[in-house]
Amino acid sequence: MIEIKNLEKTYPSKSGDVVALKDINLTVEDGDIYGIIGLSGAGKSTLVRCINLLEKPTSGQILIDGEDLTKVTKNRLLEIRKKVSMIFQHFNLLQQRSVLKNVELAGEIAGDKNPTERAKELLKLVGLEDRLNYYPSQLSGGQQQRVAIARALMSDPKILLCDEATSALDPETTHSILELLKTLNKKLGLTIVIISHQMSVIESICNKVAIIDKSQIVSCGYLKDVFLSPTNEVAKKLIYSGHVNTGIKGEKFVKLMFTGEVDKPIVANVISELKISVSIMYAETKVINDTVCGQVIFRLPSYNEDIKKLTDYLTRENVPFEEVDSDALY
Amino acid sequence: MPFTDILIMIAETVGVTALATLLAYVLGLPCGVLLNVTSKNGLKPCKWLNVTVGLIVNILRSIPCLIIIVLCIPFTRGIFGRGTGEWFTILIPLTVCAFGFVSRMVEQSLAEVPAGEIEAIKSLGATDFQVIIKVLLPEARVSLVTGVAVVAVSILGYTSFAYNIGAGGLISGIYTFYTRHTGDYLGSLLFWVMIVLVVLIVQGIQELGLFIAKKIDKRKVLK
Repeated sequence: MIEIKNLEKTYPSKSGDVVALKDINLTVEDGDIYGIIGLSGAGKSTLVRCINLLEKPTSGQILIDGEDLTKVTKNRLLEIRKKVSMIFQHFNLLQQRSVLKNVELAGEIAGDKNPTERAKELLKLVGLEDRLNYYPSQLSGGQQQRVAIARALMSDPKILLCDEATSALDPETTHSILELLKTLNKKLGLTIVIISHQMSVIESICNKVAIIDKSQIVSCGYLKDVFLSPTNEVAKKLIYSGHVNTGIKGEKFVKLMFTGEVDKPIVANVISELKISVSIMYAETKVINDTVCGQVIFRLPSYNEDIKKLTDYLTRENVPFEEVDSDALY
Repeated sequence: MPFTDILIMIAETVGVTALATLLAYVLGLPCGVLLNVTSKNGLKPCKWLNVTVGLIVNILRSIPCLIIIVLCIPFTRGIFGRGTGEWFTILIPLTVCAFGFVSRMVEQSLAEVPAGEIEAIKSLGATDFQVIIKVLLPEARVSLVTGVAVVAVSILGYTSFAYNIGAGGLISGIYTFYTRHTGDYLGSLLFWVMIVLVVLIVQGIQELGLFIAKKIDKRKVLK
């Protein structure tokens, strides 16, 4: 379990301190795939690098299974780092070592005298058993990230930190890397913290998410909840960005939320039974943690007349809904 | 001047250059590592140590080689029994002359190792020593090897000063030839042959350096 308490990070600069992280509180349970998402410069990379103390927090605590990393000795920190591995946006493989030697090195550091067998095993697990003697420059980005994952697994870690691990990859490769991470989470019980600026990455793999904006966590919790009812501007931007642009100002819309429990044709019924000819401003269905989650945003022809009818119906059918300001949609 | 004399001069020049390069690296490599590791963005920033070592290196580099040779004479005498007149009497001053240069070259080569690679290995729980041995030096090896060639060529240039303390070698041989044939040295074939030999040795060192560097560089191999 990772507990982050009152974490702060400031960088000193000539024109005063620059705040990178402020008042961060976050708990990652064992087995979670926890996404941390934010726009560029929000501080998410700094946050993940504080978890293994590659960045030293200015104040606050980082507890891994109850042990405060900011208080342990240097040697103890090195031991803990073997249980908290990390992969990176640019893979960071040693360019002068073969694939096998790159992975073996992690074993050597972890104190394994004969790391070859385990390295081969892990390279097989990530699907690169036929590339053992290749060098990183001979591999594609996706393959390099697989080597980095094998390297990260050598010390048999409990936690894997992913710092924009798919941001340099094309969508297809991203998908395959995320599938691999999902498998590792299930197979090895690996707890994963994944940093990304892409909602699609978080959606396809995480069970929980924290949204970070201007150095602070603005919302966090189960992905389903955050996805269906984004409560703040950044969350909305991340979820609706590029999908909704109504150009309509000063109107009220109604958003319906589905979470896999509804199997009635609600939208059709609204039109045929209630005789409200709604316009659909936005609709999306996603599978989040094996549950179908959807949302539809309606524009009502005459809001004040129809809203009562609609909300009564939705309440009766047990469909969660909320009013949305048209200006708040991007 | 008999043929064997030229062979001896070549052997002296190549031998003392090789030995001085080796010794300069024995001292300069650790010093360069220290400079890199203690620098502001290094593994273990330590300002006072970095500044102190940097200062010593800079002072050594600012003293002209000929002066270092003179300053080293008593020291060489203490070790070898004589301070001038034999090929090996220039070994220590050449090493001292190259030491500062080597330190800076090594420091520079290590600085070229991508910070991400170092960070990745640190994230695996590596000690600073492991990072130096497993990442910094091996990943910088191409740049280090080309550096050795550059250093060796400079040291070969410094062997000119062997003339001043009678330490032999090909370059001081050429100069001696000039002093004995001041009137017609430009018309002598032997004079030009010796110069060509020097050029060939320098080219040989450079090509060998490049060859090895290419051979050990795995960054741009394509199958």
